[in-house]
Amino acid sequence: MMSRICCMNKLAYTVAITAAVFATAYGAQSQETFDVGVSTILTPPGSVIQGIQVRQALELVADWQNEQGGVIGKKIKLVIADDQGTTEGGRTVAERLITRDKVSVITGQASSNVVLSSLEVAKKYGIPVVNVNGWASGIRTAGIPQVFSPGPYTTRVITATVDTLLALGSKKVIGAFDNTDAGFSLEKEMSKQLKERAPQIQYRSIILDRAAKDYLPVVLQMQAEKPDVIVSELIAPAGYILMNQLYDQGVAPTKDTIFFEMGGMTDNPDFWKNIRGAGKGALAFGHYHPKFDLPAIGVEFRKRFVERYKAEPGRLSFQAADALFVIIDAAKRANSTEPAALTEALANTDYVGTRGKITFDKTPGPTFNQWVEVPYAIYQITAVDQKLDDTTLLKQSDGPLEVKAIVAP
Amino acid sequence: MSAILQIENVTAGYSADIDILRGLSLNVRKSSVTGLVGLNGAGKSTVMKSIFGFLRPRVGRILFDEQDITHGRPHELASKGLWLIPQDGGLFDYMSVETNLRLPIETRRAVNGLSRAEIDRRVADVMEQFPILQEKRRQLATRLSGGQRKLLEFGIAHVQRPTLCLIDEPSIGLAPKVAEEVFAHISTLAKTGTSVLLVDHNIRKVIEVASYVYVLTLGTVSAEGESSVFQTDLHGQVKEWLGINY
Amino acid sequence: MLSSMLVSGLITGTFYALMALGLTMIFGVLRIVNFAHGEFYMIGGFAYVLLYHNLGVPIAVALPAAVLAGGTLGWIVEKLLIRPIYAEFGGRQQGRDEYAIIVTFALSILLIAAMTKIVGPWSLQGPRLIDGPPLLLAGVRVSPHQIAALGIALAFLFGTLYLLNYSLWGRQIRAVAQNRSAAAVMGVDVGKVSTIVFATAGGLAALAGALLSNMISPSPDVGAFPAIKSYVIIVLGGLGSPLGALIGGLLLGVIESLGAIYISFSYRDTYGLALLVLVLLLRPNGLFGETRREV
Repeated sequence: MMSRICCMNKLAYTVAITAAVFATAYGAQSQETFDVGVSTILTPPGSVIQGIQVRQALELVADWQNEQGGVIGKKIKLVIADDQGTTEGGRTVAERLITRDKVSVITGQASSNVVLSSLEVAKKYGIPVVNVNGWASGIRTAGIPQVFSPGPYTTRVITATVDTLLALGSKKVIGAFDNTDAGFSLEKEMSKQLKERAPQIQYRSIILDRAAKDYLPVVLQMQAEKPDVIVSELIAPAGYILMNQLYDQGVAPTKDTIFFEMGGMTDNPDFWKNIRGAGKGALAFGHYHPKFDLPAIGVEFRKRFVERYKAEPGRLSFQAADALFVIIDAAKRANSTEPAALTEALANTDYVGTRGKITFDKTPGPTFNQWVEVPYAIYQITAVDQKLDDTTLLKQSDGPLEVKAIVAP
Repeated sequence: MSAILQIENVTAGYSADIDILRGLSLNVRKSSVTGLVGLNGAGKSTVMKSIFGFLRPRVGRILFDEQDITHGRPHELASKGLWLIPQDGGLFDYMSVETNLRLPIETRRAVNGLSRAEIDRRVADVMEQFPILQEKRRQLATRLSGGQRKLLEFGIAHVQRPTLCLIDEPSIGLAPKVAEEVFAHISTLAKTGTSVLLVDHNIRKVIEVASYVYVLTLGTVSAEGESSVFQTDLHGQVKEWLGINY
Repeated sequence: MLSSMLVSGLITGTFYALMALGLTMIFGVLRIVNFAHGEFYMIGGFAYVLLYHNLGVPIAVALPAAVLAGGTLGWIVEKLLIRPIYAEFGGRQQGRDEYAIIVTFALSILLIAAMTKIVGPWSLQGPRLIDGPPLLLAGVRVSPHQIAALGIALAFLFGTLYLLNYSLWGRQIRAVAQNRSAAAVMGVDVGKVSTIVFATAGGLAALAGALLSNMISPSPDVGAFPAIKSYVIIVLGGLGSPLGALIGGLLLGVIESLGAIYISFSYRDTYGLALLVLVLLLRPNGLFGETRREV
C-alpha cells in the first residue's frame, strides 16, 4: 500500500509539472504571430521525402518573410504536424491545428488522402486550406470555398499525359497507379480521357499497393504484353522499386518501350541514390524545370534554397513556396489574419508566384479554386546521375512536345 | 553417517513477501535414500528448486559435498555431480529416445572430459537395463506412454552416474504396477552409490525405500527419523507428524 | 508464365525464410515475439550501404560487417532488454508477454527514429555483390548479383538448419526450446543460449537486409514489410519450428507471386493471410508446429 501511495504522489507531480509547462508554453503565445498550420508527412507510410521537401521550402519562405518584418506586423509562425500521409492522420492533424493550436490557415499537405480528409474539418471551422500537392479531383469537386489549390491536379496531369501519348504515336500503353486517393483519381481520369480522346490506343491500367516491395510478377506480365509506353504514377519508395525491376528485366526504358514517370519523383533528392541505369532514357513529368522562365521571386527563391540547403529545389519545393506566398499575399491584401478574411482574399488571388501568375478558378467542378494554368514540364533523363538542369526539356506547359529530341536509351 | 547435502536454515519464496520455506534444515546421507514427505503446499518441490538453483534462498545456505552451492546456477550444478528428475517432466519431447539419453552426457562431456567410448558404454548399459528404451530408441519422446517416459528419465539419470539425485514425485500419475518398478529403480540408484533425495505423495513407499525421513509442514521440518523406527506404526506416526486427527 | 512466377516466388521466399528463421528461433527459445525484428533487417541494410558508400569499405568486408552489426545489436538487446524476463527461473512470470511486446515494440520505434535522425528519411540503394549481364531463368532475368545473394541466403539458411539439427550446440538450442529447465539441469547455460539465439537471429535478419538492399533500398522504415511477412510465416510454419520457417517462407513467396498474377496484384498481401487462415483451420499448430503439452 505504501508503494502505491508513493506512486500516486509521483504521478501527481508529473501531471502538475506537465500542466505547468504547457501553461507556460501557451501563455507565451502572443497575438503578435501569424500562425500557419503545416500538415505534412514526417514519418511513413506516406512519402517522407515529399514531406521533407515541403517543410524545407515553407521554413525558408517563412524565415525570408520574417526577415522583412513578417506580415502586417506579425511574424509568421509555422506550427508543423505529422500527418503520415494517411487519411486518419490528415483529419486528426487538421482538427488539432485548428482547435488546439488555433492556426489561421493550414497548408503543407503532400498527399491527396490528407487534403481529402481535412476538407470537412476546414469547412466546419471555416479555416482556409492551401493545398500543396493533393492531385485528386475530389478535392476540387467537393466545392469547399475554404480550400485552394495552387498545385498540380488530376485533369491537367492526365491531359498532359494523353497529349504526350498522342504526340508519341503510341499504340499500346500500360498505366501503373498506387492504391491512394491520388492514384485512383488519376487512373479513372486516364481511362476516361484515353477512351474519349484516343480510342485507337490499346490501354490497360493496374493498381499497385504502395507498401509492396516487389513488383516482379507485374513486371513479368508487362514484359509479355510488350507495350510502347509504361506510364507510372507510383511515388517513392514504391516507384523506385518498380523502375528498377522494369529495368532489370529489360522491360523499360528500352528502344521499344518508353517509361513515363508521371508521379513527379525524378527530382527527389534521393532519386539517384536509388535509381541507376533505370533512370537513363526515362521520360519524366514535373512541375518545375530549371529551364523554365522564372519570375524574379522564383529566381530569388531558387538562389536562397541552394544557399540554405546546398541542393537544388525540386518541384515540390516550388509548390510549397507558392502555397505560403499566396497565403502571405492574401493576409496583406485583407490586412488581417482572421480565417474568414483570409478565405475571401485568397479567392481573389492575383499574384505572381515563383513560377508564374496565380489565380483561382471559380467554375465548380475539377478546377474549382484551382490555379488552372499551373506550369508543368515533360523532360527526358539521358544519363545516370544527371542533374535536373541537364535533362532534355521536351515540353513546357501547353507547348508542343519535342518528339525529335527524345533519344532511345 | 556423513551427509552429501546439507541444507542449513533456508528461507525462500517466489514473491517478496511470502516465504514458502521457513528456516528449513535437513541433511541427505551418502549412498542412501532420504525421503521428504508432507502435505500439498508444504514446500516439497520448492526444496528441490532451491537446491538446484532455480530459486535463490533469501536466507541460509546449501552445502553439497561440503561446497557452498547456495547461489549456484542450475547449469553449473550438473557438472558438480547433481541431477534432478523433476515432477513435470525432464524430457525433450521432440527428440528421439536415444538423443534424450545422449544429449545430457554429451553436453557435460565438455566439462567432465568423458571419452566417447565411455558414453557409448553407459548408454548401452541403460539400454540393456531398460529393454523398452532399446526397442523405442528411434521414437520421439512425446510418443512414449507416461510410464515409459518416467523410465526414460531414470535411464538418463543412470547415464549421468550422479553423486546426488533429486527425485520429485516420481510415481505421480502412474499405474501402481509401474510405480512399483519406479521405486525399484530408486533403490537400484542408491545401491550403485548415488545418494537420493526423494519426494513423493506415497508416504508408505517413501518410508519403504528411504533410510531416513523428514516431514515438512508449512516450510519447515516438523519431524524426522530413521525409517526403520516407525515402519511398525506408520499410521500413528504420520498422523502425529502432519498434525492431523482422523 | 507459371514457371517464371514460381522462380520469382521462390527467390522472394528464400529471403522471407531467412528473416522468419531467426524470429522463430527466438520464439522457440524465449517464447516471445520480437517486434523489432524488422529493424534488425533495416540495420543490416544500412550498415552494408553506408559502409560501402560513405566509408568506401569493400563489399567483401561490408557484407560480413552488416551481419556482425545485426548480431551485435541482437546480443546487446538480449542482454539489456530481454534478460529481465527470465533472469530468475521460477521467478516472476506475471506480465511476461506484455513486457516482451512493449519492450520490443518500443525498441522498434526507437531504432527507426534513431536511424531517421542519423541518416535522414532517405532510402539508399545498396551496391551489387557482383556485376555482369543477367541470366535468363525460366523467363526471369536474374542478375549475377541476385544469384550470389540467393546463394548466400541459401547457404546461411541450410547452414543454420544443419547446425540446429546435427551439431551439439544446435541440439542444445533445441533442448532449451523444448524444455528450458531440463536443459539447465543437463548443464546448458540457458541464458547464454538465449543470447546466442538472439544474436544469430539479428545476424540473419541483417544479412537479409544487406542482400536485398540492391533490390529494396533501405530506409529507416523498411523493416515493417519483412517483419510482417515473418510473423505470417512463423505462424504458418508452426511457432518455433525452424523447418516450418523455411517451408513457410518459400510457400508464402510462391503463393504471393502466383496470386498477384492469377488473381489480382492489389490483394497481394492478403494471399498469405488467407493461406494462414486455411492452414490454421486444418492444423492449428501450423504446418510443422509441435503440439505442446499444457503444463
